[in-house]
Amino acid sequence: MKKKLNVNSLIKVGPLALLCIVTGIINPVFFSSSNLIDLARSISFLLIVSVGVTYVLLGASLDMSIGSVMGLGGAICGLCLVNDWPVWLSIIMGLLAAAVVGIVNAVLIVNCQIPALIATLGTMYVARGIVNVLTKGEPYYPLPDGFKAIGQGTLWSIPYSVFIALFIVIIGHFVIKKTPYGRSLMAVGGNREASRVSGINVKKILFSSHVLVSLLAGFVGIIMAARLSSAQPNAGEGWEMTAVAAVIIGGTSMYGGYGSVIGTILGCALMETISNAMVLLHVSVYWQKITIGVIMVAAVGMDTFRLKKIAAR
Amino acid sequence: MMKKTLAILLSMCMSAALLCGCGDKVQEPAASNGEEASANQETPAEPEEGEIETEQEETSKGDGESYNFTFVSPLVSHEYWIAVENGIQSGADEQGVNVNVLGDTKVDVDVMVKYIDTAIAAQADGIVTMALSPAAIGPAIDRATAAGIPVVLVDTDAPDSTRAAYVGTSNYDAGFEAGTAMIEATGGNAKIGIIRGTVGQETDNDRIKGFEDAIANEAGMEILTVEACNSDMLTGTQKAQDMLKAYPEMNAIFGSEGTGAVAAGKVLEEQGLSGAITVIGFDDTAECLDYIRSGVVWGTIVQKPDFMGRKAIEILTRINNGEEIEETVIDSGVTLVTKDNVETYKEDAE
Repeated sequence: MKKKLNVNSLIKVGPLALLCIVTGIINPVFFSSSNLIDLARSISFLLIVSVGVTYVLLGASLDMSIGSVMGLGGAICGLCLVNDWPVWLSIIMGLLAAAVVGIVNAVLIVNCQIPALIATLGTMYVARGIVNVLTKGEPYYPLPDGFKAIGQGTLWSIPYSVFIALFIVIIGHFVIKKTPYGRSLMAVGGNREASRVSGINVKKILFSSHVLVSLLAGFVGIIMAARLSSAQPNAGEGWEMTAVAAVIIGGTSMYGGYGSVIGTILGCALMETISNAMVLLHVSVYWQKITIGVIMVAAVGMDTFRLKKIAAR
Repeated sequence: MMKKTLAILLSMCMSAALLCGCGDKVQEPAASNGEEASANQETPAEPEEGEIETEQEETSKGDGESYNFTFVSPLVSHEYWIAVENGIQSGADEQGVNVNVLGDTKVDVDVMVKYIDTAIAAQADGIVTMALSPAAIGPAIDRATAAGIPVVLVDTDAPDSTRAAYVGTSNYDAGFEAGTAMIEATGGNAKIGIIRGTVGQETDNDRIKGFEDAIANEAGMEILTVEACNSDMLTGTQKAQDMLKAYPEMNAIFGSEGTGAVAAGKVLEEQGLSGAITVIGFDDTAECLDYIRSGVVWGTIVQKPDFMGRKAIEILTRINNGEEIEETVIDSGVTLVTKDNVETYKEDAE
């Protein structure tokens, strides 16, 4: 069973590889090291938050507030920085703010039993509202160099954010596959009632996954502010849809209980590669959305078709 | 039930704590805004002193009546509209009138119409707003006029409506200015990439149309591509990177809204291409001005939101005083900000 899963996730590389090869043939610049590094950086931002989204979806829950939380994490961190707080403390404040939203989400969903979609839509508005109140629509700028290095620094000409994303992916993958927590999360997503009866602390599992996704979202917001040398009030707007799409393309079920962090890597890579390829292939901006939609459906369709064939055998 | 109440209380406390904890610092940017606004006016009126002084001024005025105007903002949390609002507030201080601001944090024409109707119902003495969509806002303006409430439009006009006056510069003209500036900056030889906001945004459409028309007669000017960054800074940087890869011959970038030029600036600085590529943008955000100072961005087109706001209040006051307005379309003009005037353009505007 385990082996089969690994093979499955390997085959999922198909659509992505096809896209890369086609783009590379038409415009060889695609495979230039500087383009690949740019691409890796774009993927790393989406990937960090998508690991969190994978956890939430695995637990058969949903979080629409992550985009706003990204904005909030960056804004709080930026606010502290422009008031000359030390970098480490500012980052912790940004993460704390994100964690608070995560806790509120978790309390609303787990303890108050408000549907996740509604609860997190609510916090999505509140969190973005707080950002608007704080920033009054103006970005926090300028930010100190020590902070900017987090988003702009490189090691062997690879941006730090790529290493950070890799680190989070490895931990995220390990926790799901190898720890009791990961197995419980899968079980909770697969069948909440059965998990409860078999002694899993369902509330605790769901609670932690919501706090985790907010923390990661806030963290991306902070790195993004460092990358952009400014905390933008509208940072992260619309990212909830991109991240959820990337995770689902990566094979994680919207209904919980099935999926993997590895798949999420592929989903994120596909999303960002499409957007990179659109420009390199000189696709008109008016046609890009159609193309993106078609490629997304085709990628998932290829996968579904293949799984069906396997099942029919 | 108990748990539920507790949880709701808890979450409210948390959001409140978030707000309170930061309350002190929030006032700083607000205060500095106020200072800027006051620095922009010639009259010594101090906006910070607040309403008390305004009211005193009113009573000391001959006519003894204070007007209540309403400003319906399309987007209350945006730098540009905050600048308009600041202009309106300083205009209100100058004229000794009260202004009530209504608006949402999302651009929504239905909401704007609703707020205009609210102002009509509240029997305001005048309304300042913008015609986000002339077709939708027009009837609301007509309703206000029918109710005897004069409407002054800023930024975007609805010429077919019964609005009393319009203060602003068309986005087409602003884009045309940007195109002219691009010709000047590149000596008429440029392969241009455009970074716009969202696809289908009318402001962007008009500016790009103006830009295209400005460069149409120059044989050496060519637009290679138009990409949309959705007014998101990170997306903007990614688009700029991708465009540099996809069009190695590109030597100029035009950002048709506030994000594009700054995003391009970040990428160019990162890749050591500052100055090699001519960047012209829109709006005078602090970052954009810094990039102009350091030579990464060549120039930016600035509309005059502060002027629009103050002029609108002045016109409304004059109408209410029974004066005839001879000029109903007032061109507020644009300013091209480059390294030469980046430090002085704000004073020059007065």
